Amino acid sequence: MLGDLRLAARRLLRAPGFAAAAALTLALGLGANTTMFSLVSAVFLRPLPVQEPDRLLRVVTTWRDGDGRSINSGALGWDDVPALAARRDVFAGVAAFGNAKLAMGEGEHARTVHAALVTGQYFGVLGVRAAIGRAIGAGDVGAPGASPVVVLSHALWAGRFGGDSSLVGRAVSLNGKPHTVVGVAPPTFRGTEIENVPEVWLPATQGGALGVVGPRAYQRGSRWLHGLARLAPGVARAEAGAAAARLGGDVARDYPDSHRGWGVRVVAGGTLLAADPSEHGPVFAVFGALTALALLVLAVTAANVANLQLARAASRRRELSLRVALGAGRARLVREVVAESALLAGAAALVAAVLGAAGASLLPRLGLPPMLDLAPDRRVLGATAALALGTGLLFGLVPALWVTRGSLTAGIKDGTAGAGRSRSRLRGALVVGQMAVSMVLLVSAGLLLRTVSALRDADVGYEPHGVLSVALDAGTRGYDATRGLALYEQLLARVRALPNVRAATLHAIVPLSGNGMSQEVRLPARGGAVQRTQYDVVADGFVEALGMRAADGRMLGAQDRPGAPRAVVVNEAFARRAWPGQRAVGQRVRLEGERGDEATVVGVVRDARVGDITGRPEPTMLLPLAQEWTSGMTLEVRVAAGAPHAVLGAVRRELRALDPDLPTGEVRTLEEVRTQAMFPARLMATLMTAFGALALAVAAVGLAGVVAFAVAQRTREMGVRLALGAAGADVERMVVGEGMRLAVLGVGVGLAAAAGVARLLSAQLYGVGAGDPATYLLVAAALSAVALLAAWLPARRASRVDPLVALRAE
Amino acid sequence: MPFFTSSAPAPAALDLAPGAPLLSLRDVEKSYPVGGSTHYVLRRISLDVKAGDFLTIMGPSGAGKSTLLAILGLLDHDWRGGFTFAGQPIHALPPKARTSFGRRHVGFVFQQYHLLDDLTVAENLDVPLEYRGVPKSERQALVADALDRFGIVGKKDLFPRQLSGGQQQLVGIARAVIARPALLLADEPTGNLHSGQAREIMGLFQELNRQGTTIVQVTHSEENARAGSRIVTLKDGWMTEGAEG
Repeated sequence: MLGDLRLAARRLLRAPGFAAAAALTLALGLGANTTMFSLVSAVFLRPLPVQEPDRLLRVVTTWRDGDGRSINSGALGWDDVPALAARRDVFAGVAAFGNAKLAMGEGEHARTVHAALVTGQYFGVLGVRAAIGRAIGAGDVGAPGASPVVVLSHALWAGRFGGDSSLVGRAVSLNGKPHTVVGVAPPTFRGTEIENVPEVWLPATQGGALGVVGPRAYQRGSRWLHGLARLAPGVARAEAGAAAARLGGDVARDYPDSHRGWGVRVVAGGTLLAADPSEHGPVFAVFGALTALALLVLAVTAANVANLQLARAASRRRELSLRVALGAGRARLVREVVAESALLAGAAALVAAVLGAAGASLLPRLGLPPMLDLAPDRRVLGATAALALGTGLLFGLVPALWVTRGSLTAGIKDGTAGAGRSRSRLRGALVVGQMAVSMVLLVSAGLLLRTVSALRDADVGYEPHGVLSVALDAGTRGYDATRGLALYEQLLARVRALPNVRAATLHAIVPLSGNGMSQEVRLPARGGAVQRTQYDVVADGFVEALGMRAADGRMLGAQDRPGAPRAVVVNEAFARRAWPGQRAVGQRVRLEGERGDEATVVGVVRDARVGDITGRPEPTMLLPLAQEWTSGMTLEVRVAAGAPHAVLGAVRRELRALDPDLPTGEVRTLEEVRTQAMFPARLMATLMTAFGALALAVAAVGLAGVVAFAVAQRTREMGVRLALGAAGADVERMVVGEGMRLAVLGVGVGLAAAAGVARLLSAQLYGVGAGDPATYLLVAAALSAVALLAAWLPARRASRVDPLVALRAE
Repeated sequence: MPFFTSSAPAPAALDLAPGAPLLSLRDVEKSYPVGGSTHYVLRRISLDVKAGDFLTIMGPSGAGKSTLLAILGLLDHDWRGGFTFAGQPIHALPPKARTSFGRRHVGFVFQQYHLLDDLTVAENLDVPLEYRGVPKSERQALVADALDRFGIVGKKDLFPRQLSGGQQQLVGIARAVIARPALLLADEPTGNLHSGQAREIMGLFQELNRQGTTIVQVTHSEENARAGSRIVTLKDGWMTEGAEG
């Protein structure tokens, strides 16, 4: 085989044009896949920098809502963690963490940092040791507020504190409270999540003292922690899963008040996301579609290489015949051709690694979380190499078998291709396939681009344009309900008085931010029936500031004070489900299941898309801030004109005037949040457009190559035709016609295939049907135009053939 | 043979003065620069071919026979001298006009037949008519007539590869004359045929010639040359009238 490779290398060096064209074409297709692998690997495959990542699990909880639907909640309660940890037979350790944002530093130097509030086993379960000092241990997680210690991320320590080793043992201010730095995490460890990458780790029991979790956080039934577990030695994941499920059932039975409908699952935890479709269905759908379509791009490029191989084989037929005459068997000839393919694939893989890395480096511009390490690792490079080899062998073997079939001895006489007709059919079929695949990719891209456009124009039920969102948390400065409410009311009054501010409000859940709160309410009018609902806590002026639309009754206002009868506003989806056919205003709901107060529905707002930009609006309830104190709020400021960011300085001044140490959290516009919510659609549309354009370019080159090769093979025929009286235009028309026949066939096959693929994509589409005729027509027209150009270029050459070639051959 | 009595299409109109030659070459030369010098392929060729002539060009390989044929067929424009075709001074025409003129008035028969592989016999016959813009209904009649004249009706739906060499050349000749060219040029028309088939083809040429077709053929075969009415010989680019040797 080494000898074959050496000979193949020599042959390829003698045909550098062919070798370069084949390797580069294949590299383009492989590069697209390397980029996709990088993304898939970063999210699903790259092991977290923890000990034995394949033994780490995530503990996920599920809920059955009032309609019996299962909802992945993900969050555990405080008491659930020791209950799981007690199963020492299956878990070597169980830990949990909650995400929070804290103000680090004082005054002007205060900045918001992402924090993980961790249980005592967190670092132990992960097997992560501090780079400097020590990690948080069980001894730090005792009585609430008793252990104000903190571990810093390496990046924070190196950046904000200049990598000062003497920092360990000193105090830093978090939410205005001193916390002793006990250690610095290793540089590779950045938590276990794709988002909310921690910059500090604190004992979970500090959450109350820091004001980032409520007093009920440490009671049964709270749900704010994300569970991690390490498998006990010798225990398989399935066993742990069964044990967790049993435990979930037991807890649900023992504590029906807090855990009715509750369940526990475990999924692999050694990567950022578990490669588990039931856990991350939408991500799987998007990545799966993109990977499949990247493979189609590879198929298009590989078909080009196969076509080049066939063309080359035709010119080598005399040589192959000679080898047969000298005693070479077919297997030997096939091996020689395949050896060339293997070398080409190897070269292509090297170029693809570079192209793929370049492609991956562009991905963050699409809005991917910065936590993702997209540099191709050995897993990605290995996959690229394997794919290159597989593709090279498959697409080398087919032409090899094709070329060497039939009698080769005829070729020695005249050097003509004995199997020329069938070979040109195969080449034609490859071009038809390329065109069809390009059609599929471009139709998919077209539908997704229209989806992005439709999403941009979609009526989400509120008006995101011209609204600045500023995250605040009075809890970070220790405000209780009374003082906090007063602070927020003053802030609203000051902000509303600013020039260019048309309206302002505060609420807890920014629409389409991916955050949400839900609870179960009881409906007394329906015999205490349970309904799960999303909810938001809002200040007055909510409807005006967000541009929502009132449908019935009144909106929440100044009269909904603490101590006043509890009032709620519901959306139309809530009203439809809770009281079908009846007026919602005046109806009663019991909040928080059986334990809460009863509230009266005072108004109904039109449905808005809060959770998912493409999904149906979910039942949602709005509670007045004055009656449902929540410290973590977002200030929404609607400006009268211009860019919303223009008022940020003034807003900050007002805030500082009220409390100079209250830090602001994330600042963005609602428009930006909405754009971010379109991320999956934009990611798909962008990559698909890139893939489609790449496939089209390669297919066009393929078509031009096939036509040019046919012209070259038929130079004498062209000469004969010209000698028989054809004008140049006649020959040109004929050649273009033959090319276009392939293209039209490809477009036809592609239309049917695209319709099938588009149906599979329909879950990702919005505002455009999977069979949208305009998209199909436009793509078909564009593809035909490109094909026309691709066929016309070699056709021009055909029309300029010297008719003397017909005589010269005599 | 049946084709004598055919109603072949009228040849493209040519304005030929009485007694004037169909083709007239005066001091035609063709050369290539080779290194610093000039290699002559044809030297001062002067030749008249009357309408109705059956001229044979002979000579050893490399003598310039095929080059002369290409010039006569208006496929080669790179030469010097005077060339009049049916009174039309070809030397004064731009290359495009020469090509267009030749397309209308010259038919070719090739040594390797050069039938179009993917077309049936009938479709091959249709090709020159289509290129000359003959309407489809008329073409069908002409093809049917040619098939009948050449006795190949039974083979009209066969592809070239299904025919013997002689049959293929028969189709090649039928294709060359179907548009009634003023001049039929043949380059070694029997070069790939055995002697029996060669004799048949030459018989066919003689019949066409008797019917009025002007023929110029290039051949190495003395027997084929005897089928014609006149022989010129080329050697090293120079022409002499009369048989070789």
